[in-house]
Amino acid sequence: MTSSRTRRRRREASLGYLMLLPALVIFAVFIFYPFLRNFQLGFYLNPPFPNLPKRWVGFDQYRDILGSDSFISSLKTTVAFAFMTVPAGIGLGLALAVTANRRLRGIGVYRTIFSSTVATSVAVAAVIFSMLFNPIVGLLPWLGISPTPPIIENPNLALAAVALVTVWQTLGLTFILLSAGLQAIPEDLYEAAQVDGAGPNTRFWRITIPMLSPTLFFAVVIGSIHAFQSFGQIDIITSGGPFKRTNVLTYSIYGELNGTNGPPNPGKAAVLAIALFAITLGLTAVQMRVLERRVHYAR
Amino acid sequence: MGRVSLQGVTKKFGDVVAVDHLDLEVADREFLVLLGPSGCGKSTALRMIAGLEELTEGTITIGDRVVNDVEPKDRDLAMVFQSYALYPHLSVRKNIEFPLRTRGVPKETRAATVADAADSLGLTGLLDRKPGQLSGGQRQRVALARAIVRDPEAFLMDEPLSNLDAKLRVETRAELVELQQRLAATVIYVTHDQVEAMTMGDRIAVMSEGVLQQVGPPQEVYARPANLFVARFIGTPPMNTIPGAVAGANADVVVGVRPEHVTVGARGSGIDATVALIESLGHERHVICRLVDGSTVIARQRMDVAPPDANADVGLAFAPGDVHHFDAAGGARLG
Repeated sequence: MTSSRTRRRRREASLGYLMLLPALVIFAVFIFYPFLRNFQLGFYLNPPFPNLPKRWVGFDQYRDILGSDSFISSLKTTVAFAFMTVPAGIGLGLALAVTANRRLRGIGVYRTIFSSTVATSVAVAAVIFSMLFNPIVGLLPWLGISPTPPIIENPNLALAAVALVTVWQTLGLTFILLSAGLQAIPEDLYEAAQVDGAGPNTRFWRITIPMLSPTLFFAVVIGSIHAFQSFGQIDIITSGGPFKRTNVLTYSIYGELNGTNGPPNPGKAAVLAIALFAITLGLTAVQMRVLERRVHYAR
Repeated sequence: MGRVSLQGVTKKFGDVVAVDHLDLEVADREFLVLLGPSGCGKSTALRMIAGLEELTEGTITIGDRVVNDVEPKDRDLAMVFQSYALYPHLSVRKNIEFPLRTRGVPKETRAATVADAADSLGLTGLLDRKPGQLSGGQRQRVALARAIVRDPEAFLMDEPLSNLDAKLRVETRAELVELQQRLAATVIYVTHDQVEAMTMGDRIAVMSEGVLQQVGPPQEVYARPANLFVARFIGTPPMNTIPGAVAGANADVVVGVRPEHVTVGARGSGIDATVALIESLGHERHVICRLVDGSTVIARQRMDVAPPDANADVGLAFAPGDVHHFDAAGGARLG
């Protein structure tokens, strides 16, 4: 009796593993192996000149790079970039979602417009905004403004300019996410709150925000991950400049690989990539622990 | 002053008239039941009183104040929804407290009032739970507690018992009436369940297709239905209606007899009929008979009366005083 049950369980387990196998193979080839290989790459110091052998330095390279001023500066830029994009993106997305959640004639047109940036690629968004920021042919001279130095060459404004593009480009997705969350809030809660004496402000803060908190939480997590992984708009608009003021971690990895900062250095790029992975993972874990405590799930 | 008055209240959704010139006076401390089938406009009427729907025409007065343009939050009403509409992210305590918080009641008063309301509805042990952790009956009580925690002009209840199982519904029905009497509150209660209407209401307002059919005490509505719709809608089983069946009567008359007034006797003792089916409910029996013209008449029998045989040819009799006459064209009561 017991042995037949064990046998059946074993058979079911092997069938389960067999079904997992295709996904496991794909993950192994495209995720796990490159990740481990990348980790290993970080143990080798690249030679100053090509064609010389790589040298095993182990964790020394990790320590040197992660303690370096350039890494700290790049990390600060990335964090600043995330702070500029995530709260603004979610705030704007929420404002648009709340606006478009009303039952008004023709509101569908606005919903389509608000979500349209989701269909715009990073490259297209970057090119559009490069034109808008352009001091000679763009929107600014048409408005009679010609900032000197041009916005994207201004060390104090370049990061904000790239952040603006990012907020605009991710707004569609945030809007769609939050709109879906808003539509899932039962109408009768608002009606009950109205009869219970709640005005629009109370309803927003006491019903909408708590009921939307799982969606907001999700938007913060993926928004942060997106911010830490932004690359296209930086490459197209500022190429990490001026004076490395937009040199976020992803761009510094790219810089090490394509030789912007001297000869290509895959070892250093690998260390930076692992660091970015660890930071994103850590950030998400912290958000899960800290923010999720403030999230109200219906059950 | 918990008086509510509706004058010529009309609601149109596009071309559809949901409520058609509704006139209704609800006295202070009265339990008024709005009764009707699905889609008859009773919930829309209630929602207009609450301020959740705008009026197309007419006037609604609460107390001495015309409230047509008053926001729901300022109408000083409490409402229990069919879905209960509890705030799922708040504990039972905070749900009950919500109407007090929005009105700026001080914390100490709030705590005491919530404790009282919870105690009167047996919720004291559940105050720290979330609605998702409660049974249907408990949620219903929380919704009630949230309504009674204040002392509003009137309570509006939109089918509050329809999501409960049959046994709990009967229990809660009695408790609600007791609660209304204890609070000396004005209640406007919407239901499609005539048993609820008959047992709970001081008066019943029967609606059909947006139009008020009859208002009156339950017994009066039952005993003297104003028209065919009310006659057929109130009573289980419903009133038997036979078009032009009485000898000598005008063909345009519909005759109505309640099942409990129909006596089943031997063939020749009344209208000829054949027993089609006998339903025994334990405490009484329904004898479903087929007349010669194919129409059905139900007779209600006590269990101590001998039942007729299945398929037996019988005669159906009733006293003239128990017969209701209705105009076949408009359905209005005659006499």
